Order: sequence, then structure tokens, then C-alpha cells
Amino acid sequence: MSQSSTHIPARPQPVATAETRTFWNGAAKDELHLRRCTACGRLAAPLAPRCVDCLGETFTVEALSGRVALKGRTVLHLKPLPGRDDALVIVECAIVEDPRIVLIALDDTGLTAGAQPGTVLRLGFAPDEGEAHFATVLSLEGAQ
Amino acid sequence: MNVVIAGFGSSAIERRSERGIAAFALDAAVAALADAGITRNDVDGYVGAPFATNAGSPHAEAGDEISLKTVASMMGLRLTWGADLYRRYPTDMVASAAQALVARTCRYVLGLRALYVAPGLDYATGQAANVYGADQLTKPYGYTAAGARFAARAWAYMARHGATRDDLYAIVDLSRRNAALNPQAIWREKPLTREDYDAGRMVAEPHGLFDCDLPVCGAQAFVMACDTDVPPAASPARVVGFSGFARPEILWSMSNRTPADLATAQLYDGFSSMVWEWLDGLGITEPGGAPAFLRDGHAERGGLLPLNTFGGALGEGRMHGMGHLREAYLQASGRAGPRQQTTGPALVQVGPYDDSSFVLLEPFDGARAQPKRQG
Repeated sequence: MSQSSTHIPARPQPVATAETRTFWNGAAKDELHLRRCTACGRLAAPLAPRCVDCLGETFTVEALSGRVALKGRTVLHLKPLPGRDDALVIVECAIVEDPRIVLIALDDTGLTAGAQPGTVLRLGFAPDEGEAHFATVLSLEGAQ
Repeated sequence: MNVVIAGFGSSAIERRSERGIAAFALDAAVAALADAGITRNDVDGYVGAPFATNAGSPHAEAGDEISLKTVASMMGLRLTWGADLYRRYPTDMVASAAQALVARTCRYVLGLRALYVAPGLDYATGQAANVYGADQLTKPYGYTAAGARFAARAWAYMARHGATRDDLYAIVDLSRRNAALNPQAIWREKPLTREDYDAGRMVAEPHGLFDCDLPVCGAQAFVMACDTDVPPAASPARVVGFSGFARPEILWSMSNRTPADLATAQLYDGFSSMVWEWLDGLGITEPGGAPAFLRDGHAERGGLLPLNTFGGALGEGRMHGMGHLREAYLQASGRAGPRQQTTGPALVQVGPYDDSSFVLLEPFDGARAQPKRQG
């Protein structure tokens, strides 16, 4: 979607650095991309400059399944995002490949209503207003 | 340790004020000096934690934050050591002051934390054209507003352990009843019925309006010293231990105490569900056992472990843990008046589940000989 130079998008736009660019480049292709440490094999959270286990700083980029376990969920009744007047369903998602990495997403279609902690979801990335593609719940795969 | 909190002071706590944050800060500092029985000229150390945590904060010096530089300038302090701790807690202020005192860097450390509600700001906003750093992964989802991350965690806790809004109400109700005995609490004359609680609008489920502490204008301050420097008029409490959240066991090994020894506990409650975290996390209750502990009355005044006896932040107002520290000091020094519980080890915890620190205070038992240096 094109935007005029005076328009402020409804959702704040991420300013990537070398560390987070992998994540956002993957999101732009509607895929979950993270970096894996070449020394010890641990996945790195998007912000991490080095591997949290071995402090290594060389990574390979990996496309992950997008499957996540529902870790936390809230329905936010304030309206922090301009132009979004409905309550926001915010979910904390532990990725199945390494549940120590938790990503935040919106459940825009209410799929997680009634879901229990640990329920497996599939995350995708949807273009919203503005340039970035943000994480969203695509489907519910059931109990872990 | 051979370190004490020698006195504590508080400003008034108000929802809005014509007076600026510096006026509250100096009220608290002057009150703390008077309480400890020292003068401004005795102060040679300072510790603060000025950061305003509200999402929409302008971080304006002497606007909604006040740092060492401004306090020292406005009070004419002549410091040999001082530090502002970035995004840290009153419990960390105590630990830092203790280090400076044990090192004999200074004799009297003033510790100060001030909060302020500036008019015209939207404290829950997520609006921004661009987001940087950690915010890029959270703010576009509204996750930084209204304690959403604590609400999301409370949802999981309640689902796993069968807790309900009844259990959240129990925390708020306890806070309001305790606040009735705290003359400066913002909710001191406002008991909250279950019907009132349910009538509060939802903010971030499962938290409703009354599960959130109220932003206030106010400041609180303390004076710390070595036990050999306790001013004659002071009513000290001894600092016997502190630790960060990643190593809570250090609190117990340093103090030679266990959770069973605690006389009182002041646990941070910016949102009601937060008090479950360290009841479970410190092993006071089994994992998931905190709601039952409250339900069974063990956290009441006179109970097994009286909790947030001053009303907590939910009763007193959002002092970001200074109120908790102050109450632990008052309980340990036997000065809590009508709220006084058994004087004994008084625990204070400040911060969230993934970034807290702890301090343990005990009644003062006189100056100790300098401990021999251990090999």
C-alpha cells in the first residue's frame, strides 16, 4: 500500500538494525525468519547481537515453521493504536522450535477465544497500513 | 550488614498538583532528614532512580523526572558520591547505598524517588510513527500499554492454576482495607465492594480498572548510614540482605534467614496479579499456591505473613516501590503505628517477575564490631 509523506500509519513502523533485519525481511515474505548460532546451534531472539548461550556472533538465517505455543493472552480495551477501535487481542507466542523465544502477535479474528495456555497456533505476517508486515494468528492447531 | 536505614520521609500523595515534581521531591527529602535527625550538611551521598515508566512520558527533568543533579543543586548538597540508577528500583537504591557505606565512601546517603502525573499526557498511548529497539517487537501490537504483558501472564497463571477474578479481587480488597490505616494512602477512605470492583471497566483482561495502581504525584526519601553513625534521634532498621531476582537465594544466605522467618512482606503490586509472582517465586507458597494463601487469610494483618500492610501501590498510589520500602522500614523499626505487626524480618520486593530485586530489613540491635575480613 502506498502512503503519502504526511500520513502517520495506524501502527508504528519498525526501524530495523542489523540484528532485527532478518526478522523483518522474513516478515515481508510472510515467513518467520530467525538466526541460528553457527557455533552452538541455538536460535537467537530477533534483538540479540550474540548467541545467549555461547556469545558467538555468527549466524545462519533459518525459515521456521511459524508454529507457536500460546503462552499469554490479553484483551486490551484501551485503544493504543490509532484507527483501531475494537479491543485488541494480544498474544504471547513461544515458538515451537525453541519456546524460550517469545514473539508478540495480534489475534485479529479472535481464534484464540477460549484457548488454553500451550495451544499450538500458526503465525503469519500480514501487511497492515504502512510498510511493515506484522505477526498475526493465522490458525489454531489445537492442544500441544 | 553494618548498614541501617536511619529514617524515612514522604511528601503528600496527590492525584494531580499545581506544584511540580521538585516540590514533592524536596518535601520528601526534608522529611527524611528530619526523621533521621540529620541536616542537609551531613549528607555526602545520594542515590536515586528517576525514570518515569509511563508509556507517554516526556522524560522531562524537573517535569516528570528528577535526577541527582537537580536535587543536589536545589538542596545545596555537597556529595562525595552519588548515582541515579537507570530503570531500577528502590530495593536497588538500598543495595547501592549499602555498598557506598560499607566502602566508607560516605557517611549519610540520601535516597529519593519521585513520581509525577503531568497534565495533558496520554499515558497509555502506543502512537508513534517509528519504533526503535525492543519497542519494534512490542509497540505495534499495543503490548506496551496498560500492563498488557502482566495481564497476558495473569491469564496464563489463572488458566493453569484455576484462579479467577475472585482471587484478583481478594488482593485489591486486602489493599484497600490496609490502606484505611495509612493516612497518606490515596484510597484510604475508599473500601471497594465486589460490586464496585466488577463495575470497574476492563483494562487488559483479566485486569480491570481497580487491578491497576493509580498514577500519583508524590515522593519518598530515606537516609542510610553505617550502624556506628546512627544519629542519636534516629529509629534505625538494619539492612540484613539484598539480591537481584535471578539469585533470590542470596537474600537468604546473606541474611541467614529463610522465608519462614518473615514477619511481614511488602510485594510489588503495580497490577494486582503481580503479588502472586514472588509468593510463589520465593517459595513462600508452592507454584500456583499464592491465590489460596490469600483466600485462606494468611496475608491478612495478624495472619501467617501479613502482606502489603500499608495498602500496597493498589491502596497508597503508584510510588514504584518506595511505599513498599517505607513500610518495610516502619515495620522493622516498630514505627508502623496502628498497622504494626510483629517486629521481625521485613521483606520488600520491587519489580516484575522478570526483573525484580529484594531487600530484607530487621529491627536494629545496636552497632556491631566491624566484621573480620574473610579470607
